[in-house]
Amino acid sequence: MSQDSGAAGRTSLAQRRTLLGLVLNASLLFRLPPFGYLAGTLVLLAAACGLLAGRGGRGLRAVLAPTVVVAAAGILDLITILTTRR
Amino acid sequence: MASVTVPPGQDGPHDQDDAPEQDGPHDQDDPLNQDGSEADYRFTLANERTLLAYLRTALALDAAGLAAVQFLTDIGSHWGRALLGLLLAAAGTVAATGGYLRWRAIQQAMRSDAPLPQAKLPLLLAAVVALISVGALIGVLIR
Repeated sequence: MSQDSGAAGRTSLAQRRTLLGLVLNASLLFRLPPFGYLAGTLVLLAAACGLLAGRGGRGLRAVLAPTVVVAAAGILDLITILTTRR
Repeated sequence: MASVTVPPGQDGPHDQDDAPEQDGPHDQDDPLNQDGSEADYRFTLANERTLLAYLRTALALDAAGLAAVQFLTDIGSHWGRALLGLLLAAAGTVAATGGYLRWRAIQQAMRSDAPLPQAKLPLLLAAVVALISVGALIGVLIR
């Protein structure tokens, strides 16, 4: 029984570490004008939505939600880098 | 207001409000659950943790791309920094989508009791990270 909760607990912690990575990503985006604030806010909102969508799930939705959020964050990063003003 | 007595055990992790609706391992709408037999849940969770590790790698690559554009202001031109940032962010996007495709392939292999598929994504990611590390090393040495 302790092995059961151990595997589920490790997975839950891994989900939270991924969320922290999204927050770090958003904080870096905030410093890139002129669209950094917008992109950072979108990443934070997507992180919250992805966390809620994948909450407690075990099936396809539980893994698809964070994947979509991280891929969307990467695309937002690409757009922000391309439009950064110097 | 009338007080409601909550039975013991109903306010913990097994509370009915917190339970997932129907997205557990036995969800019949999930295309991954259509064929094969249910894999050991510990392997399923380990596969999910591997995907989350790929997602963290993707986020680290994205963050490195943003940091390169933002902080390497005294190295090279703006377009050089942007190229480096674009390469890193593109690698992050590839890592996120590739990690998901690998999770899906492994899940299907486990359900059908087949050998695990060959992984090309670690080689690609290792090559990108090694290339950028060599570039950073050269940049530090000639500075």
